[in-house]
Amino acid sequence: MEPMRQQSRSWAIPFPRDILLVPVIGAFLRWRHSRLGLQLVAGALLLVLVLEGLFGPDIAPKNLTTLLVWVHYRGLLVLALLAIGNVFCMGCPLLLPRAIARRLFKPVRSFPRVLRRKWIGVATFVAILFSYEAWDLWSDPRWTAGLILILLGTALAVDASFKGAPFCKFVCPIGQFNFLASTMAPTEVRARDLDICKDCRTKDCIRGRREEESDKVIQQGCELALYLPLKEGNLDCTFCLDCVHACPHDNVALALRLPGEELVADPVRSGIGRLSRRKDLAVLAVLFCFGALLNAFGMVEPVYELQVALAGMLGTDSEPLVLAVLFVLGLILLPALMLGFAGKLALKFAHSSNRIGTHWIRMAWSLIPLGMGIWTAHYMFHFLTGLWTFVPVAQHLGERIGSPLLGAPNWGRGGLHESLVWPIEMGFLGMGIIGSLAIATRLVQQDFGPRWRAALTPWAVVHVSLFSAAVWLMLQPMDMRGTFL
Amino acid sequence: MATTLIARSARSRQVLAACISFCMAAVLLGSCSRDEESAVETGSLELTLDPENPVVGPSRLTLVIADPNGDPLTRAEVKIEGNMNHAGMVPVFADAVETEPGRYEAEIEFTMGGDWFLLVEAVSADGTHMSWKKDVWGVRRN
Repeated sequence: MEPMRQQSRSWAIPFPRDILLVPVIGAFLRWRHSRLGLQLVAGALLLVLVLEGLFGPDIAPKNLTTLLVWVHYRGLLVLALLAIGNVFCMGCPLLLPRAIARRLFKPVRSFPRVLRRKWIGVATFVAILFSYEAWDLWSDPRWTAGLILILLGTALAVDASFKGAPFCKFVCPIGQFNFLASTMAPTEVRARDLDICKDCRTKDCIRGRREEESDKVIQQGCELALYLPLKEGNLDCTFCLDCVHACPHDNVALALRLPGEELVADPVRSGIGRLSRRKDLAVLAVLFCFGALLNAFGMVEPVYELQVALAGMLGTDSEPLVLAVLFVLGLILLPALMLGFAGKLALKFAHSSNRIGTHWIRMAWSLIPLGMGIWTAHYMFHFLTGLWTFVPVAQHLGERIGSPLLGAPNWGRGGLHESLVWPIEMGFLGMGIIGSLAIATRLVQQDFGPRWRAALTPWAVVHVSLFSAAVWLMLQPMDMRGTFL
Repeated sequence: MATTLIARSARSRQVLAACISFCMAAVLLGSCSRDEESAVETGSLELTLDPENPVVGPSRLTLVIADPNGDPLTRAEVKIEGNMNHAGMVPVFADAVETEPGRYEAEIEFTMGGDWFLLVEAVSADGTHMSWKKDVWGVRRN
């Protein structure tokens, strides 16, 4: 058994510290069926989206599926992650079919040990980004619905085959995004008092609560293998609150905390280990940041010119091929060069004999706040400029199904003007760079002692360069995509 | 115990097969029974833009419309709706005016750079509806 983590973090945030103790909200979250309730609401909406995507208009701006998925869902997702936590995983309806399937049978096999890293998640995350660009998912209601069905089918197939929640932990691309982004969330599921955990003999938070006589599980423990006394931060936590319901000592809190704080700590984390030894997670963190840039880059005019130039150089008019080259450049070569040089220079400037591999892995986490800032700025553009567009589209749906309840579509409803959204975008980018520099500073202070300033310099150059690129991107007139090849 | 497991395993396969079949059926059904609200092309439409490579701002549209027999469509009510191919933008609308038999003109404002498409709907004097979808790719900033 690993040694129990000590309460090391100081509380800088005033009362109330535990959301579960807040009236109404806390009572709802502590209700055993709160997650199922959220999932059923989300599941009903998902069903509407699938049907509308498959059978509704083939015009993206008039189809509720493309609108809600690519404009409102993504905007609300990042806002919820920053304002609350991983609530979208909490209410994820993709798990409903598997919940039904598991009432019929219980898988007995464990997910293969060799796959218990984030490499599948890395692949699915890149696949989603690539498919989005290559096959214009944002403009295709049918394939947007198809993507939902693929995710539903994959969740069902994986979790019906293996114990626990391997789909959420290792496969789901949205889950991987949410895990990384929720490191910037202001809340965390954690033990209230570790002394109580020390005396706990049943470990219900991970094993589940069982009937005494039959040993049958009556309340699921953490399916993502996060043992609460050793849980640190939000990585791999779906906010399912199973541990809250399972703990017989009522010793679990949804605690307020400083966002990003967990990125500078490197204890042995339950279900994860030490971050400094997780290459796969570090790669995911790098993709999170550079993927944000690449995704935003796809929105501005210079990308079309670059695509045309690449197509000319390659002598092809295949857009997926050109995009593949762009992805290799943006997600592999560019990060390898930038982070590679920064790491080597940091060790050289600080006259350090630290291992370069460990240093890279550690510093990769400093990219998360900036990555989150870029994703949020980008998604806020779509969300805020198209804030009320769901009203006429929903009215249009009502009209099509013969329901007069919503009235005739008022197509003039839009959102905020671009000029008002731009300062908000800059605000998120600003918070991102401040967070990244703060975390990079803390990391080099821990690793290089008095020579931290020398080690920080090349990394600060990397962060400021990425921030400058993001600001430049947001300053470009945001085009709504292009199919120029 | 073993019997239960085997029974559950068989049942699980049935559940999986049912779910996969449902998904595939839904996709197939969706692909062949979509609401193609803008793709009815009974007559013909020739659309030209001025400027030819449109930029953000007003654009002059000239529409030459023929009925299903190939004759110029006269005295029709022609409405145009401009949309971007990304959801979340407010559409723009214009009414076209007939300048000579079968020839209509309108002005439409492209409010953002990127990919647009125009939905053109014509209602002839005898009440026949015709509609077309025309892509306008690559509207550029000035």
